[in-house]
Amino acid sequence: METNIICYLPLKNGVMFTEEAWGLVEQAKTIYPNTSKMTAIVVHSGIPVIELEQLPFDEVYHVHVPIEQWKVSDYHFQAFRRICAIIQHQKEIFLFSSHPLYHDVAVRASTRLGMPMITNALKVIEMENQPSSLLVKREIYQGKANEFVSFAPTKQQYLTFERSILYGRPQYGTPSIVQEIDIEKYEPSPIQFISESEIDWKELKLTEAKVVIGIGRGVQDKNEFDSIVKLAEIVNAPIGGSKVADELGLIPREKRIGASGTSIEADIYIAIGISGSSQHLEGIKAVKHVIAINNDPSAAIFQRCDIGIVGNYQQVVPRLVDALQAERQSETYVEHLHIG
Amino acid sequence: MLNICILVKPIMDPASIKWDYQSQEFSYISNTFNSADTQALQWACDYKEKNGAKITIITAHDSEFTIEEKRLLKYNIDQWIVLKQPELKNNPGETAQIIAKELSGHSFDVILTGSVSEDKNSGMTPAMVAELLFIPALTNIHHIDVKEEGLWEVKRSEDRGTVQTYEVKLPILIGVTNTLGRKRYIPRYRRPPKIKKEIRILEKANEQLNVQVMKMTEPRPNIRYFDIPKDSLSAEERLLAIMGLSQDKKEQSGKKVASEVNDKTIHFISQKLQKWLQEG
Repeated sequence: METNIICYLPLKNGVMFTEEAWGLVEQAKTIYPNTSKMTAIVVHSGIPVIELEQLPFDEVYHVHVPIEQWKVSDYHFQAFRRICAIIQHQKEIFLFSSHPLYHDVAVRASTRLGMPMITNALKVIEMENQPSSLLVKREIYQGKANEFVSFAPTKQQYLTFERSILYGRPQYGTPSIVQEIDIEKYEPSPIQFISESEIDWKELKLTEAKVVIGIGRGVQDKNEFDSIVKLAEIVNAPIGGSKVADELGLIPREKRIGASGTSIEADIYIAIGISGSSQHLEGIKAVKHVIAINNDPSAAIFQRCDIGIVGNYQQVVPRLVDALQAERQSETYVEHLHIG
Repeated sequence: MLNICILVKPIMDPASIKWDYQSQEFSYISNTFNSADTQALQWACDYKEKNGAKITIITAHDSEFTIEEKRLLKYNIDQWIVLKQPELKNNPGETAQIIAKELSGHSFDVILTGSVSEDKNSGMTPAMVAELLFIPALTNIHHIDVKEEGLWEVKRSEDRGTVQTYEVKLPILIGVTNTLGRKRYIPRYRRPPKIKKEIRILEKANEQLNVQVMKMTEPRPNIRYFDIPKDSLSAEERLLAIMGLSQDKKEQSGKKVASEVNDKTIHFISQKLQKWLQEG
């Protein structure tokens, strides 16, 4: 029996495919690779049709929703239901990102139809003795155990993927059907999107920031903070530090990073004057990229870092700030030229 | 006066629980309540202190599960409805069904609960309950401002550092995160004259499970492979090598560590930083 894999593609602000969307495509291709048909659902607020015609799917169905409505899952759900009324197959597996916007759509759809759903999947494999059934790996109890779950055989199955595993490169194809679904009137939602804003680095929590700056014993004087503060402004990063920095009074207690403080999961960690004790490294073990600046070449942080500079931070940081500022200015200039 | 309902999930405490590799099951089990749910409850109690409200808690749990009632009774609540059903823990979607069935007999202005439970990490119950009751739901909310009784402004963390603001009309179900308020010690409020507690013992669900747990396993341990020091090194040098302090180690890390601060190095770092920033 042919299975239709239907991907609800996640977008950035309704107008751009990101690594998350391509990651979902990659996951979809690993499920029943030989016997399935691939369908994409794109609810967007302004993606050019030419981009939709190059998606690596057999069929693409898309709905245009104004951006204010795109931010509200109620409208996604209405669009999703309208598309589902068109695509009817014997067996369907709907794949979503676990982003709250899409997660809510998936839960509502599965509940409305009484179909099974598994959320936050980390890995999906075919069951050894039942090739038509899927085995889904999930993390439970905050990562202290894994759970393997499977769907009962039903016509439709809903699956959301953990966002951390959705990462892929752009892929292209030639869909046989690219159809726009026109929805004349949406039922108004009692939820209204008002605005979106970036949190300033001073208010941003260490655990929520994309970039975190950590300072240690090497930064001994508060008066030498200027360049670090400038760097924090440019990359919108809160400033934390090691246990020593806390004890020296360079940072408040709640900004301590490490086994005795906060564990961070930032994408980028800039360690300035931090030697990298095992307790501190414990607190940054989930960080993707580490940049270390330290004048001691034997500092343990250099074993953990992706890029390291052996040197005085008072020389390195201002130059890095200048380089980043120059980069930003040129970006603004290019944007200005395009607009003009 | 607002009529607030809080869904509180009793769970096995993820902070205490450990996977026993030998017996292949959990050990150090202690029971608690989902922390995001108690954050919602704390917010509701704070609101009640200032503006007045009626607070009803609904807990649904497996008949075999024991809960520490005192931990909830210290909050300033008016009513507590306990739903007990045999083998509820084995049936993931059933919790939302029995809660929705119970709620359909009541009229609440707002239902507050945690967006995700710390034990099963599924995040399905809030949106399922809302869908079954035909009311809107908004999850992952970390801040609530009550503009008027029937009109709230809520904030949701979208990506790291991005906050979305929504205006919502009641009735609604709001799923909150752990960061809704600052966790604090809850003093034993002056207990209201009477907390109306109702316990409903439900029959085991007859429906066939549509999602089955096949097995539970330990998380994969992080194994780090260290370089084996050369035999030619002395005991002292070998020890230093293992500790990552030898000259040998310095040379190895030298590939990614620049010891000269020049324009090329700075450019490389700023470009890498920009690239990593764009990745997210």
